Amino acid sequence: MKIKAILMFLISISLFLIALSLLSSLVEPKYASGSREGNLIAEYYRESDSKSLHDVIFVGDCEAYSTFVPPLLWERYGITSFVRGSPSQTIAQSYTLITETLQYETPKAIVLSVYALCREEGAREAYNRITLDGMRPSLHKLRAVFSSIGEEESAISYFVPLLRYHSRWNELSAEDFKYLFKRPQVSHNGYLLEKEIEAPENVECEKGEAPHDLPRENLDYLDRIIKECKKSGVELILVKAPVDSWLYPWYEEWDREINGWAEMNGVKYYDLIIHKGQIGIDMRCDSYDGGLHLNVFGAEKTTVYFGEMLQKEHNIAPHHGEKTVSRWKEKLDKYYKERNE
Amino acid sequence: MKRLRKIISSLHPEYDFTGEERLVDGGILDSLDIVTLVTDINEEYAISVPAQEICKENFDTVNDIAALIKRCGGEIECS
Amino acid sequence: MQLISVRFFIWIALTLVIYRVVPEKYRFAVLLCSSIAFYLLVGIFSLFVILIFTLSSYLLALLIERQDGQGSIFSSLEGQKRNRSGKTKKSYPITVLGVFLLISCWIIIRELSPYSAVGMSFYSLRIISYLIDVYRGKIRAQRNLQKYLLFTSFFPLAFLGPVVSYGEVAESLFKGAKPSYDDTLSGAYRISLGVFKKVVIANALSTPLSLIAVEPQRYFGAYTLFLLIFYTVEIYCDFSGGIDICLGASRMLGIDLPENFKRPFASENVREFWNRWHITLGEWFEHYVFYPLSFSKPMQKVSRLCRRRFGSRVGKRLPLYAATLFTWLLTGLWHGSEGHFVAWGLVNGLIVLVSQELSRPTAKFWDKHPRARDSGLRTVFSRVCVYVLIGAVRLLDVYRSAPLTAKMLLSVFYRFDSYVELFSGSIFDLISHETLAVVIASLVILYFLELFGRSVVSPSQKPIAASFFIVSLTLCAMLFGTYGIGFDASDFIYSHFNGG
Repeated sequence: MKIKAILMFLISISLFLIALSLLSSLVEPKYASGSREGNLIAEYYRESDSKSLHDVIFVGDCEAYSTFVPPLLWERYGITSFVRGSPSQTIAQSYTLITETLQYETPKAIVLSVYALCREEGAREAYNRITLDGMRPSLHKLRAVFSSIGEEESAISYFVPLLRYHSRWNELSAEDFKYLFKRPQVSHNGYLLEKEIEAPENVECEKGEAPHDLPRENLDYLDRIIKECKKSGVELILVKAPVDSWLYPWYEEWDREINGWAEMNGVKYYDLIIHKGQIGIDMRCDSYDGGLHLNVFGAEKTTVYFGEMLQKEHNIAPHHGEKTVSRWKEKLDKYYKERNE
Repeated sequence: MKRLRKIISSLHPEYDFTGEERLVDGGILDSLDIVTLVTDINEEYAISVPAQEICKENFDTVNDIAALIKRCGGEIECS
Repeated sequence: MQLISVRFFIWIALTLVIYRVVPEKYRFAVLLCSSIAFYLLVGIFSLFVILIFTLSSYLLALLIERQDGQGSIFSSLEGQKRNRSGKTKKSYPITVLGVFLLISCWIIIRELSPYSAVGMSFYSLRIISYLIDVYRGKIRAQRNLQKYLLFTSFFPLAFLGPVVSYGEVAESLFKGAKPSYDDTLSGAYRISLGVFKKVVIANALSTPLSLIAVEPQRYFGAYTLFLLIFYTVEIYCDFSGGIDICLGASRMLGIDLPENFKRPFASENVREFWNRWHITLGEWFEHYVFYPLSFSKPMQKVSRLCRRRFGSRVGKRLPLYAATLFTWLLTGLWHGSEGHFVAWGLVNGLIVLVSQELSRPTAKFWDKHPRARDSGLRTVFSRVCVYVLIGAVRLLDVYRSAPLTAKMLLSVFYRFDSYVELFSGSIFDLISHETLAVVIASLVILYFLELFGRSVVSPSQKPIAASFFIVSLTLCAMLFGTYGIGFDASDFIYSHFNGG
């Protein structure tokens, strides 16, 4: 009798968990059309599962995943890379993603896009979701959740998505069933391709001084990041994407602060805004959203320029292995297919 | 117990009492009924049921009520 | 901590596991620690208040018993009836003073304190009944402070009750008996049912009904009727759902608490309704206010006087009705001290008395039409009348003003424009098609579950079905429920009524 009861209990719990997992997957937004950024973070695990390793890992917010093009980096310099980027990624989230990545592999360098350093408030719930939902359940995710969530959020809903997205039950579309078990691939090793061209409006406003210093907590995270990198023998490189808009302005004062920190810690920092001329950026045709982010044309130019620095200044040598070559050829083909469509 | 039965039926003349039913548990008597019943019993049997005895167990069947009356010094005839 | 929250469920689960694992003699300590820690988590102020109330009443009870010269020969929980003549008069003033002080503190804290003391309205009643029972000699005063503290602070009772007396729960609270398989399964089923009721039905109705209630100048007539019908549904699912969770949790610990609801909508008259809704509260006021008042010496004198002056028929009724109204007044005040609570109490009391007066004429009427009486028509008609009447009075809670409620109820009968508007689809501005469909489907499911519940003595007779329901109800609540960001979850309507 007792064994029967225990058996029934175990079966019930199992069925419950299976159904829970299925329902959670069903109601989670699939980000297949519209807001494709939602799938970025999770796509890293496809690579890491197949044990492919990368020379360089780019980390950061929208500036990271709209600026650096891994297939191109491979084509020109034989450098393998992945972009672990997501919209409005906070420096705390970047730190967690870096520590997580270092558990899967040891790249030669981690390139951190620094825009997040100037953010004062935490991310909104929607952006926390896009960054954190994609992470695999782990202690890293737990840490990231607790360091990110606001008052009205509940940590457990990041591990049981049904608790957050249940209200979508009456909005389910064919997409939700089609991608129930496997999401569509939206990026090219983390790079999100945008082909539109939208020039910025002709508003040249006085920039003035930086409104505040870089917040202390953010620089603390930089300290933690360099510590992790040094522990794993990975080089940290800081970079500012060559975009400077009215909505996401960048200031010389911040450059100075970062340069100061970088010097102290033996880290190289590249503010590509200064290199805009050499890169050949022309915002009239290199941006897809009026000068806020680079489109594929601007991204390619930047990648070629930056790749050269990686090769020359940081001695990241090209790969020749057969498996790597064939795998990346596939990626390259896919990339050009989408680019030239 | 004819007197007692009469008193109880007078509370709910629309109900056909068999004498066997559960008065309180069956939802036939509620608190208002019980107060009225006790007042009537006090008058009829010249006793004074103390507040302590007012509980469901003492009013659930006709026999319970009869036992209560006896305990309080009242005289119940045996029919 | 809210009742419907991950924290509370983890709390229950943790307590359950530890409770079952430790040896029997430590089990009551587990419950005590769990309850105290619960109050600590809820808020330091809440913990402080309950400790003060517990300590003072613990000492008071010992004092009451000691004052009584015959204290040592009293039997306790066996409930042996004894002659009251042995009692000296000394303990009466202490009891009265103690109860009075307790009630005063309760009112002061409830009205004046910026912080809320969770559970105060419920444990205050528990403590008052304990003191009175000790005074009456029904129970012995508990000498073990920890055990007494467990009685006052047992955490499943904190949010919504039920209102229990010492004699009802002491034994099972302290025994630490191991919960049986039936206890576990029944308790789990109960919890899942409660969550389902609360999260799927009550929460879904909360926002639309609030929207109707806060704009009486915009939503009247047909909307008021809609509110009348569905507010009762909401409060029933909210309150009984919460009670299901508390009773279920307690059952899983092997502790049986009394029921608060017994199919209230099967009531065929108002008096019956109040014996089926919030049963334990009604019983408390019966035992500790209504009966003592009705049978007190002064009241008996008044009763004799009235019968002499006004004749037997009227004379009997006057004191009875006065006591009834007074009890209902206090019941209203227990919910809150605002005017509309007093009105709620008095109106309900009046309706009960009118119902009492009308029962004979009504029975005579039905006797004249035996076919209608014996058909289902009478039953349906009575039940609908009760539902509408109770629902109408309940609108006092919603509109919080007696004149406004009366005005809105009247508008049901003559604002035909609102009916046109509502039926042309404007109700779906307030509540979506899907939500309304979910609510109605859930009510149907509830009805069938009720039938299932009645067909078996306990869920462990059909463990596969029970397990299936537990899993399904929980998943349905998680999927179709209204909760989470943007919804003020777990705001129990009833919790507004008292300090807790």
